Amino acid sequence: MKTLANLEKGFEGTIVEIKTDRDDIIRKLMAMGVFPGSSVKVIQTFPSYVFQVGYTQVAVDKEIASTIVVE
Amino acid sequence: MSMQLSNIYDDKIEDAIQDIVNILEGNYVISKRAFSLLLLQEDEDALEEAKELEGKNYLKIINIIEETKEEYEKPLTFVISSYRQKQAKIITDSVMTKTEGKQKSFSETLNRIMLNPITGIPIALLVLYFGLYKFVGQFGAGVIVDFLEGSIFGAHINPWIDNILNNHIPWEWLRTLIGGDYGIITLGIRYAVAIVLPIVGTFFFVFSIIEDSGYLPRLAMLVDRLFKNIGLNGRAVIPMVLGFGCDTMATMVSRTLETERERIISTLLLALAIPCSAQLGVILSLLSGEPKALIAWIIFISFVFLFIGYLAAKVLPGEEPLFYMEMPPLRLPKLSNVLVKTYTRMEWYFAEILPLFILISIFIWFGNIIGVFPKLVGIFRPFVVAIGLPKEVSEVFLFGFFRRDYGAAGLFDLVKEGILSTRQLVVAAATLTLFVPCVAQFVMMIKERGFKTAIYIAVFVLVFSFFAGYALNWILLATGALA
Repeated sequence: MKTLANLEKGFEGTIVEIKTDRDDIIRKLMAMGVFPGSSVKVIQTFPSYVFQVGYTQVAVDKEIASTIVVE
Repeated sequence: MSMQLSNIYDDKIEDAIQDIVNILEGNYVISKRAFSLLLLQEDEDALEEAKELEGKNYLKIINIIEETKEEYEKPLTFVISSYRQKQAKIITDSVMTKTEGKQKSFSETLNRIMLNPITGIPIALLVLYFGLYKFVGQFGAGVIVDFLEGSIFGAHINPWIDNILNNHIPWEWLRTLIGGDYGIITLGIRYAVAIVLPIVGTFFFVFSIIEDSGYLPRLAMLVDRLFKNIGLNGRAVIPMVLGFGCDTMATMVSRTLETERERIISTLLLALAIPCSAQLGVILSLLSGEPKALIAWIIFISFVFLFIGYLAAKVLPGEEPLFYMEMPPLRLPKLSNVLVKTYTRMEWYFAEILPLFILISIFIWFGNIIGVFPKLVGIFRPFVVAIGLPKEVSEVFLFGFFRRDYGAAGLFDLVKEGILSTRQLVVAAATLTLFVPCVAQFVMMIKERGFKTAIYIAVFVLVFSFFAGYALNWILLATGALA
């Protein structure tokens, strides 16, 4: 299973799922427009994860990045 | 409004919507379909309204919601939003075309440079150096304060007030309450107008530029990993950077952090290890003549910041913070926006701080009358001597509580008199940086975190600062680093 937390910089793909049962994480991602089906591009992986979803750039920590399943 | 809105969601949700629509009898401002969707997402206001208007049927609705919820792993609000997102994408894809620019724009390049830690960290240090040290420290706390304090208050207003008081007020107690060394006008208002306002004003100016450029989220991203170790997340960089301007204001801003745990840790670190611009100005100018001393001070204070943050994160219960932040595109700030922001913040800040300073001068006036200060200095003396400093430094510590910069400025005089060695100077500067915040910050701590927490933090900081000073003195003596 590929998540944003174990991808290389420059990867482009689609979000398949938000894999977590923590409602607070889901709500935060929702607020930033991160949904299954959105296209995603990894911009940076260190010291935090930065990625582009649609027209928005989002920064998250490893904990949140590892819930975003992509392909 | 003939747009076809059905079939956005899957059958289960569409069915649930239909079921609820059929039950609803009340009169709602929005369509029954829209209202049903709100109910499915368990919108609190909608539930409240339905409870009132639907009577017995309310329970039926709740049943439908519960049944639908069980069909999905994720909260319904997420499922519904996901379908909407898809629909929005279909609509935008059909009307928008995206042209891929061949050249990377300048802002895109700058963005990458700022995000990459190898180039981003030096940039952050440059921003702090020019923004804080050069502009706020040297221009605001130096040039403007010298002018307002020395030329306006020192040369004109204070002598004028004292003159009036001496000629017209026969009572000594009233004269010292308003004028003299610690009067409401000569200390309180002078301090608020001539010292604090120019410093925070220049700080707000720099901060507004940084804020409007979109740089703060990038800085937050860079420090998140480090901040996680001290129980905070990258977002806390905002109050921490503000603390270099004024810790009182930063303590107030720490209310924007998400959890109480993060708010307590940042309040503690602001009180302990973040020197405000007034302190920074004096300490940097004292230590800049001795590069080794300056480096020793920076290393020691950074160590305390991380070490105490780490311990606090271990000790305080509560969940680890999460970091998530939208990164707005980098923009060139508009001067008019920056000026309006700076002005509004100064106005608001001044209204918050002025009553505090008036209160402080009344405190000092009262303390002088009952003669409590010599006693307090006497209490500090043995501790000051224990950390290897001359006993004259005791007074510096007491005044440091009332005026952060005054404490540091007191050191300045002692250095000029040649009383302190380099080692003693570093120990004094470090202990004074860690020592209890100024009285305004303490009042703000009570206001924001409550009396109990504020007292705990203040007592800890008081004890720890002397302990740390003792340890630092011992390390410097044992290693002979600054001999």
